[in-house]
Amino acid sequence: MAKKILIIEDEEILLNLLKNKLSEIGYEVSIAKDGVTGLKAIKEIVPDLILLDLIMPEMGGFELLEKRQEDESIKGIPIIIISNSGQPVELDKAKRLGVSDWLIKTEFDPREVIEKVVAQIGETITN
Amino acid sequence: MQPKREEKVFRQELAPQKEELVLEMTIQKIGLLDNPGTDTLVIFHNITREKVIEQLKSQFVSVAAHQLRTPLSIIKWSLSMMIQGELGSLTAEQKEILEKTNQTNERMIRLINDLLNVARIEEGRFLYKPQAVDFTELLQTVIDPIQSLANEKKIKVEINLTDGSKIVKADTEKLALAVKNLIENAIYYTESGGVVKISLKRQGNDLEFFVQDTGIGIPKDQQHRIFGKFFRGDNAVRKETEGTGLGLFIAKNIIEAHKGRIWFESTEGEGTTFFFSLPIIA
Repeated sequence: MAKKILIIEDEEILLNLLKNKLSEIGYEVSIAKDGVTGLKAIKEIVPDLILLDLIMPEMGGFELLEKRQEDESIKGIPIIIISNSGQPVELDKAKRLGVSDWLIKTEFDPREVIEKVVAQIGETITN
Repeated sequence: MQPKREEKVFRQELAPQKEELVLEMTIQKIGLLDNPGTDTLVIFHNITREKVIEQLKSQFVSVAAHQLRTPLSIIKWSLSMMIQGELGSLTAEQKEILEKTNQTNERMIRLINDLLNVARIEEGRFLYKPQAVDFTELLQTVIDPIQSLANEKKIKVEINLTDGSKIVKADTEKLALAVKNLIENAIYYTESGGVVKISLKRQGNDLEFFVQDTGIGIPKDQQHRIFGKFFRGDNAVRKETEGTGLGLFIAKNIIEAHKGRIWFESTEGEGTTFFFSLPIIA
């Protein structure tokens, strides 16, 4: 079975770009464009990895992280933050909330994002 | 020549809290001509309003910079896909144009990063969790990636490190940024074939670092403004249109936040040496 990734990101171009790249190499990718839909999708899909933006409509990334911590069934899913911010105080807060890795979008290109994903959950099996 | 330290001038910026009054205090010994220094004059100057305005301005820059990064990251990612040929093959000309566009976008990203750092300096929350750091190691992490920039420009980088412990109390990320700004400047403003010398030694209870270049130098009449925000020397602007005028401003603020001192010697057309010293804790 292919590994499942959920991308929660409100910026459509980035969202589609990441979705295409990750699908191409065999991951099963689902998307959500805001925190509320994202949290619902986490519970339904129970993905192997979540890529999470921070500033989003309805519910922001940090609020979603806090909600995830309260729910044992989804607490252990690894999360990589993809954000345009990355101040040390935010990084610390994210670490406390169990985040595995952090990417500042302007510092990385899609290829490097894929490398981070593979480093986190390994390559997927393609049929 | 090291500039003379102004005597008994103490200045420490504090991040003001809400509802607090911010006062600037000046103490001056005074007295009559035949009996000098017998009395003390203390002046309090209410600068709360200036501080509030400064904070508002900083917050504005911070929000604006974040908003600007989003479109820039979209441009970056899209260009990167195209350049790597993932949206179809490109002609040589198309590829060249996209690569130049990408370089311009990267320049904009650097400018925004600088603006964010300035905003953070001005909000007084710039140093984050200072800890004991081996400065020699920190220097090495900065030099390694810059080496390729120097190779590209055919500039020789000579490094002279003396043995012995040089542990300082630092916010690693910020101190590395200050060192990087100084070394990058030396490389940017030196012609191909030039030499950049980097030296680190212990001087009493301080470490002393310098980076010396054989570059364009700083015109004498502009030297007093060189650490100013957005300031760039006339000859620097002529040589290189790229550059934000924020690098040295940021470096000075970081070094001083670490209780260090920064200064320079420069002759136009011959080169510049930037020095700084930092207190060693072990």
